[in-house]
Parts: sequence; C-alpha cells; structure tokens
Amino acid sequence: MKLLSCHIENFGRIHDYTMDFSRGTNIICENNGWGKSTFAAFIRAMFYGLEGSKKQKIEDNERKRYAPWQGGAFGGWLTFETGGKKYRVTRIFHDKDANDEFELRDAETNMESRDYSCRLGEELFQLGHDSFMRTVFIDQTYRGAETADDINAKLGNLVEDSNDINNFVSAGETLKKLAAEITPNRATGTASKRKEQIAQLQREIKDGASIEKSLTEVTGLLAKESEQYEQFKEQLKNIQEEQLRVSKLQEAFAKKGEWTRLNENLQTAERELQEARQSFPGDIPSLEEVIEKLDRCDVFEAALDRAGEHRLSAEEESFVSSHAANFENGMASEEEMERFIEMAGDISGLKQKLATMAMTEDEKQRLESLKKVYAGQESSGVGILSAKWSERSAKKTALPTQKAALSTLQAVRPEEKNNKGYVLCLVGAAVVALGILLSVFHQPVYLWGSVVAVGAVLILSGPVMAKKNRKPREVRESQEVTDMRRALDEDERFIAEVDGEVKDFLERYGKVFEEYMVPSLLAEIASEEREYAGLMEKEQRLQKDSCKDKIRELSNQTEAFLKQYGFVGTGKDDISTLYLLKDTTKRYARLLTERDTYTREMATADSVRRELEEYLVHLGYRPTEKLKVQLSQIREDISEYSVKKTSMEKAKRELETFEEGCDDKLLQQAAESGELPSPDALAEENNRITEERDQSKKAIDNYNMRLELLQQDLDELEDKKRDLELLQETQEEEIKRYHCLVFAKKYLEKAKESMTAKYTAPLLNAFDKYYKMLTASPAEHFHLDANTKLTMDELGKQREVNTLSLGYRDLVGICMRLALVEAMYTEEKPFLLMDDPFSNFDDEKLEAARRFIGEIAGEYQIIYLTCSKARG
Amino acid sequence: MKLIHCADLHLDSKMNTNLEGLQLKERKGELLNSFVRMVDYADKNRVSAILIAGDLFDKKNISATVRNTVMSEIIHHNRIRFFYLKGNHDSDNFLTGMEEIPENLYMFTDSWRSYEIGSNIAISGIELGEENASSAFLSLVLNEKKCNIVMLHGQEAVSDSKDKAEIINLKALRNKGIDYLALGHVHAYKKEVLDSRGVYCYPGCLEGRGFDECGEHGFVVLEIDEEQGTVEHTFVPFAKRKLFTVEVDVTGCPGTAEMIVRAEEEVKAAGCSGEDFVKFVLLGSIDVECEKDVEYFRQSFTHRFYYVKVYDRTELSVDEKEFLLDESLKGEFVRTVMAATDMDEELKNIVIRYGLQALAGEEVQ
Repeated sequence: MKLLSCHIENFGRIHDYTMDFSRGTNIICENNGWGKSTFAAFIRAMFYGLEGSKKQKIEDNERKRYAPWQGGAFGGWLTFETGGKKYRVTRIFHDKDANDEFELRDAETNMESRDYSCRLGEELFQLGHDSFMRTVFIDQTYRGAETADDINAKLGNLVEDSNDINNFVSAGETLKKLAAEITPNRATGTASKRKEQIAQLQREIKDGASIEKSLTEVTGLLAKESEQYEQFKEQLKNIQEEQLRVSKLQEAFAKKGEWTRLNENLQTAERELQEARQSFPGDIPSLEEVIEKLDRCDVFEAALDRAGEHRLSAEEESFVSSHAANFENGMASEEEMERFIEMAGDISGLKQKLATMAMTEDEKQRLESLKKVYAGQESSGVGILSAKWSERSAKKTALPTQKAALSTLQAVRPEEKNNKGYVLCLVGAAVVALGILLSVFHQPVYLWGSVVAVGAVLILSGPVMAKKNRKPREVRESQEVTDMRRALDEDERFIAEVDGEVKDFLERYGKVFEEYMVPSLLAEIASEEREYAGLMEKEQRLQKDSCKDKIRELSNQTEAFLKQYGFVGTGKDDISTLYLLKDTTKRYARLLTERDTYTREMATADSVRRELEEYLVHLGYRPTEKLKVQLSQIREDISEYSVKKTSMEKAKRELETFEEGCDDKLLQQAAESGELPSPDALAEENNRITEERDQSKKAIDNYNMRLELLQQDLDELEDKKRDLELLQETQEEEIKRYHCLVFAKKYLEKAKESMTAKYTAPLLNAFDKYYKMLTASPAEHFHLDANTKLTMDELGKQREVNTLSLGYRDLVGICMRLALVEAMYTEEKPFLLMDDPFSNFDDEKLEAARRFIGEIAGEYQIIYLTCSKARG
Repeated sequence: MKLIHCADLHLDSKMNTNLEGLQLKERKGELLNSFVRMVDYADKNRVSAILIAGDLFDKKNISATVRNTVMSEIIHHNRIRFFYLKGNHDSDNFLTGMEEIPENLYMFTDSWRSYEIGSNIAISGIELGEENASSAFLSLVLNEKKCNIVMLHGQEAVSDSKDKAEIINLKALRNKGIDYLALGHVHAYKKEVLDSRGVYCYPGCLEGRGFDECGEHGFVVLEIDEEQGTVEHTFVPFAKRKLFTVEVDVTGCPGTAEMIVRAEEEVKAAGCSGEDFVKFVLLGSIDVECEKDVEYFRQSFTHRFYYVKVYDRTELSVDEKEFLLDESLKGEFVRTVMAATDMDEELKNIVIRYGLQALAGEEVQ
C-alpha cells in the first residue's frame, strides 16, 4: 500500500497544504511548531477518523485538538494505492462524529467507490486505531509491551486464513461479558445477587419455621374451642327442648279437658257412624247414585202415570173392537173425509138451492093473479108518474097561498109574506108520519117507503120554496104580479094534466082515482109490478136448472164412501153420517194411539222397575212394591250416614288439630306429672348458654381468622421455599454456566496462545533482523511470548523492555513494530508513518537508523517526519 | 342407583409452580368450578350420592370462596347425598362454626361408620391416622348380604407400613365382603381386582394440576343393581384441561426449526388440544454446533396451547475427528478443551458449545 498525495484544507494549524508522496522515503523536515504531528494525525484521521470525540481533555479529544482556531469544518483528502487500485478519501470533520462527511472515490475514474466504508483504516489494515498506532505509526514512544488482540488476530492470519481467529477478540469479550454478568465473585453478577437472595430466603424460611408451630397451636385451640362450642350447642339444644317440653306441658295442662271432650265427641261420632252404617245391608251406595235411581223412580212413576192416562175404558175397548173390522183396511184420511163432507155440503147447497128456486103455492096463486094484470105489460112508468103526482100535489097545495098572495100584492102591495115553504114542510112532516104509521101496521115496504119518501121531498121543498119566493122588493114590485099570475096559471094547468094522466093510469090497472089515495095507489101498483117481475123470473129459472142430477151423483159417491167404513148413506142426511164417520174415525185413531202409548209407557215402567229392583238387590235390599219409598229411605240413610261421617271426621280433625298442637304423650305426661321447672329459670339458663356459645363462636371466628392469616404466612413460606428451590436450581445452573463460560474463555485463550505460539518464532526472527540492522548485533537475548510480549535476559532473568534506557527502548520498539508489520502484512506492505522516532538516539544509533531507513525504504513507503536535519 | 366416586380434588391448591398472574387465578377458579360442574352432572344424571374419598381440599385452612362454594353446592343439591371422607390434606375446619351441618352431608371419623342408602347399599368408611392405622382393617365387619362400598384414603399396599399412617393394606381388606373399595390419594385413575367379590379403584384427581398429573382425569360413576347387589363402574373423563408431557427426541436436528417440526409430530401423536398444558422435554444428542434456541422453541407453541413449558434434556456431542486436523482457532480450541482434565465430559461439551458459539458470533446458550 502506498500514499500518493494529500491535501489538508484545514487541520489543526495546517491550512491548505498539499503534498505528493513518492515511493521509498518521504522526509518532511520542518521546524518545531510546523505541525508535523498534526500532519501525521491528519494521515491517520483520513483512515480512522478522529479519536476521542467524547473525551473531555483536549489532548485526548482529536476533534477539539485539530479543529481550526477560527472554528467551522476541517479536513482534507488523501490519495492512496492498494490492491492495484487508487483511491481518494475525503473527510470533512464537523462538530461531532455523526456530522462528519466521508467520501471514497476511485482516483483514476473519480467514480464514487464502495470498496471500503468510513471504517477505512480497520478494513484496510485489519487493525484498530490503537493497533495502527502500535505498528504502522512509529514515533519516539514505545506504546506497549504486548500486542493488542487485533494484532494477534492479524498475526493469526499467518497460520491460517480463516475468520475464526478474527472473532477471537469478540468471542473472548462475549464470554467475558457473559461470565461477568453471572459471576458470583462480584456484587454486580447475577449469581452473586442471587446468592444474596438465597441467603435472604433461607433466613426467612428459617424464621418461618415458627409459623407451623403457631398453626398447630391455633388449630389445637380451635379444635378445643370447637368442641366447647359443640357442647354449648348441645346444652342449648337440651335447654330449648326442655323449654319446649315445659311449654307444651303447660299447654297440655290447659288443654287436657278439651282433649277429653274431643275424644268423647269422637267416640260418640264413631259409634253413631257405626249405627248409621248398619242401615246398609251391603256396600254404602253413593248419594249421587241413589239420587240418580230416585230420578229413575220418577221416570218409572211418570211412565205409569202416563200409561194410566192412556189406558182405554171398557166402552173405549168395545168401541175399538166394534170398529176394528170397519177399519181393517185402514181409516179414511182426514182430507178424504173433508172432501166428502164438503161434497155433502155441496149436495145440501144444491138441495137448498133447489128448494129456494121452487115456488110456493101462494107464490103460484099470486103469480097467476098478477099475470092477469101485468102479463104482457111493459114498464108502467109508475115511478115517473108518482114524481109528477108529488109535484102536482105540492103545487096544488101551494096554489091557494099563491092566489092569496097575488091578491094581496095586487091590492096593497103589502110586504109579501111567503108561507109556502113552511106549509110544504108541514105537509111533508105529515106524510112522513103517515109512512111511519104504515110501517107500524106492517104495510109493504114499498108502500110505506114511498110515503116516507114523498114526505121527505115535501119537507125539503119547503125551504126551497120559501127561499124562491123571497125576491127583492124592487123586482117584485115591477114584475111580481105578472109573474105570479103566470106561474099560478101554469101550476093549475099542470095539476089538471097530472090528474088526468093519473086517473087514466089508475083505471088501466083497475084502480079508482081518489086524490088522497093516489100516492098509495101508485106505490101499490109499483110494488105489484116488481113482485110480478120477480115471480116470473123464478118460474123461468126453475124451469131451466139441472141441480137434481148433480145431487144424485154426489149422493151416490157419498153412499159408496160411507159404505166402505160400515156406514149407510140415507141420501137425506149424509153430511151427518159423514161427520159421524169422521168422529168415529178420529176417535178410533185416537184410541189406537192411546192404546199404543199405554203399551209403550207400561214397557218403560217395567224396564225401569226391573233396573231399580236389580240395583236394590245389588245393594243387598229386597225390592218392595214401593221402590221410590225404599230408595228414598236409602237416600235418607246415606244422608244420615254422611252427616255422621262428617261429624266423626270433624271430631277426629278437631282432635288431631288439637293433638298437633300438643303432644299426646305430653298430655299423658301432663296428667301424670307433678310440678314443672320454672320457665324463667330455663330462659335464664338459655340466655347464659347462648351468650357463652356466642363467645365461643367469636373465639372460633378469631381462631379461624388467625388460622387464615397463619395459612397465608404458611403459603408465603411455601412460596419462599419454592422460590428458594427455584433460585437454588437457577443458581446451580448459572454457576455451572458461569464455570462453562470461564472455562470457554480460558480454553479459547489457551487455544489462541497455542496458535500464536506458532508465529512467535517468525516474529522474533523479524525482530532479530531489524535489531541487527540497527545494532549490528543479534537479538538472541530477547524473548517473545504467545502474546508478543517482549522480554530480555538481564542478570539471569527476563525483564521487561520498559526497564531499558529511553533510546534503547525506542530502538527495541522500532524493531518490534517493524517485526510486527512484517509478520502481519505478508502480501501488501503498508506505508510507515515515522514521527521523528530517532530523537532519543545517540549519534551512533542515529547513523545506524539512517542506514536502517535506507534499507527498509525498498520494502516500505516511509513518511518520515523530523525537525532535525541531522535526523532527516 | 347411581353414585359418583371422586377424590383428590385439592380445591384451593396454590398451583403456582407453573402458573402466575391471571392464568393462575383462572386455573384456580377452574379447579373449583370442576367440582361445581361435577355436582351439576350428578344432578342432571339423577345420581343419588357423591363419594368424596379424601383430599377435597388442598390444605387445612381454605379460603372463604372455596368453603362457601362447596357448602352452597351441598346445600343447594339436597337431593344428592355427599359422603365426605377426609384425606391427609383435609381438615373439618370448613365445618367449624356452622350452626347446622347440612343433612345431606355425611362424614366419617377415625372409627368405622356405616350409612345405609337405598334398599340394600351400605357405605362404610374410616379416616386413617397414626392411631388407627393398624387396627382399622381388622375391625371392619360388613354385612355379607349388603352391597358394600368402603371408602378409604391412602396409598395402596399389600402390607402394613410402620412409617406411613395412610397405607391401605389391601391384603387385610380381602374377603371382607367389599363390593367396591372407593379409594383416594393416588392422582391417576386405577382400578384393580381386590378379591373374588370386589374391586378397588382410585378415580384420580378431578383436574391435573402439574405435569406429574398428566393424562385423563375425572370421576367414576357407579351403577348399582340393588336387587342383584352388583356394581358397574365407568370412568368419566371430566377435566377441563389435560396436561401432557411430550418428549421430543431431537437427535441429529441441525437447528431449532427441525426440532419444532419433530415436536409438532409428537404433539399431534399425543392428541394435545388448545386447552391443554404441554410440557416439551427435548431429548437426544445434538452436535455442539447445533443451533438451538429453547425460548424460540417455546414461543412457537405458546399460541397453540393454554400453557407451554420446555425442558432441555439434550446432550451435546462432539465429533473429535472433525476437529483433529482443523488448523483453525476453532479446531485448536476444541482439541484444547477435549484434552482438559479439570472438567467432566458434560461440562466439556458445554464449554465447547459456548466457545464455538462465541467464536461464531452467536448467542451463547
């Protein structure tokens, strides 16, 4: 490995300094204060960074030591060649390690290189900073007698190119650290701490031995107290039982009379019940059953009653027997008989009609008589004539009055007084009275009717007339006389005409005209005319009618019908016969029904009776005729028995209830016992024992609580014992582990020593070579142990080189370092950084040193720093 | 008639050997709950009586929770008769101070006591102690016509022992007319013939508490034909969790991963479930340079089981020939240790392992 160039931007007192390095020796000879050591530190810092950043002292803290006085970043770059490649490393240092900048580039391509990290020194030289200082960096101080572990590791590579030796250091540290964590020999070791814990637990366990004793004692006390408690409980129980007994005895005393009475009641009730029981020859039937049978008795009796009601009398039996033959083929139906009765009615109607239509002798004579007058006459017009006559009569009646009025009017023209109306009314009333009189004398109705009608007309005409004649005075005065005269004339003419007409009419019918008889004659003619018409019509109708044939046909049918049932139709009063048949049929049918009902009811009665008799026999009774009476008696017996039983049960219950409240033995005792203990004394005793029991209970609770606490302590003690066991187990394992770790470290070191022993000879040879170069004498009195510790024989004993003079010690140190470098770097030799190493040499040695430098410069690149030209 | 025979419930057991914190609390609760579950089982299956053949509790003084729970179960299941014979761990402290002992709780004393249940069953028992140990078995007289169930708590033996009071002399109990000898003390189920008439049986504990109580745990259900006087018995596995000790031979394994693979196979073969406690015991011989991380091994199973513990019982083996010509520091170290005279072989192997691990920059374990 070779350094090619460097540039210091800022580093300590060196500022903007560039230097190119050549092969062989590069001497920098400057005065004191130039910064040679700073330069050497710069080169070292380029490989390892700054050391001691956390150190307080400035001489130990390179960051503080080499920071520019003006402050800010500092650093520079260094170009070097190794493994055939050229690199440029740049480091800029800041206030702390984390902020430092590192850059590695390929010096030929200027490309950033990742061949090495910021741990460039360690990776290049396989040495830590200290080891670098002990080997490659050679100043005037010999830094230690022994090689560092990494030097040894590096030396190990001589023997075997494997990594295990490289891990020796960390392995040793790991084992040491693990052993230190456990070590029982220091207070910080877990085994030591655990030892303390074990001792503590052992003490506590020893102290806890009394817990079990206490536990046993308290358990004993508890058992004793429990026994006492049980005794109290027993005593209390006895006292309470005694209290109860006394109380019951006292009660029993009070109740003894009642008990006796109840007992007697029960005995009486039992006896009565027994007596009641004897009424039953067999099992006691249930009341419901007997009531049901009594209901059946009612059914039986009702059936008998109904049978009696429907039983036929001898006459009825005879009737049925006598008609049985007639109705052998069945009875006529109701409808049929109704039809024939209706038919008989028709016959009767026809006969009646026939009888109505037939003319009596009187009628025949009358008809003959009337025929003589009215035969061949059409309507006489007697009605019209009667009306005319009435009008003529009225006018004639009014005529004198009118005449008188006319005369008066003509004479004095007095106030006309019209009395015609009133006269008419009076006449009419008289006619009506006449009509009534005729009716009283049983005159024909048309006669007295006509009279009454005429009378009524007259009565009604009166007011009309009166009104008619009540004309205004002025009219009457002008025309009154004329009109009255004309009217009077007309009336007289009308009267005459009607009189003639009536006279002719009456003569035609053989009547003699009499003015006062005219109305009655006219009425008689009208009546006869109607009678004639009626008789004529009857005669004609009789001649046309066919009723007789119909009557004959129907009578024949009726007779045949009656005959079918043993009845004979007479043709005269068949309807009665039919009604008789109907009645007979109806009765016959009813009697048959009655007889059937009787038979059925009798069958029912027999059936029920048999049932009841069987029931009675089943119950052990002999049935009597009077079943109902017998069953009623049984029912009464049951009721009686039930009452007795209830009484007995009640008496028993009362006794039992009573006895529940008082022991029967106690009752006996009460009868027998003398004086009882005092309840107050018993209560006092009870209270005393209760109190003692409660106290005992409290004591038990306390003991239990103590036991619980002791148990907790015991549990804790058990836990401690278990913990102790576990701790001891762990301790044993850890001690074993500790020993194994110690052994492992020990034997690893032994192995390493054994390994390093293999390269002490080459190292000593190299030392001898360099020693000869400087002193021209062999280094045979020097020895090297497995840890590259150098000693020398002096006065028959190996002594450390530290005892040598300063110059000689530097000489030995330089030889040893070069020997180490030679042994460590078998392939690519590193540069050597020499910071005025020969300052303590005398002139003779200095000359030898110059030769020495010259000789090794062929093999190593040397950066030689000195302040003396004599040494440069 | 159905009966349950159980024993060695060890309620209120500390169980802090393996567990701690919430897990310990939970497991203690499970132990008590198993008793409750067993009583519920009895109730649902119309069991007439529960025979507790000792060690219902783990210690003389028990916690209030356990005392109250046990009492509550007995009182609230008054249809079931509890025959409780105290064992060497029990005391009757849990009854002390009670106003009334439940009517359905039947106790035994240091002299023979017999209870008759059903039409033809006699349940007899005696609590063994130093004073009655030798005379107990001689004084037992049973009615031959009854179906005789005898309860005892102690270690079975074929003869008396002067050292231990709780020895059950099976020889002395033969031909006494016992139909079923209901024992307690041994924590694993065991049933054997007593004589031509009867059998003796340990139901084992109800729940395993430590790895010395691996396997199935539960109780025995007896079905008694009162007319015939015959007893049928069936073991009912009932434990909430099982404990397994799984031995894993890791001989030849180059590293932890291969050991885990072998352990997986063993776990599968053993039938461990997620609710269980599993203790792995690593056995066999492994090379000193074998990579073995016991903690990693344990962690790889912790999520699979309720509790995992690993015991490393492996032996280290060193192939001396391998290092004979090894010129490296490693070879030199092995040769140096093997030649050492201040260590035994086991220690040498460990030392070599440590040294090699340290040299390899690995964790030293």
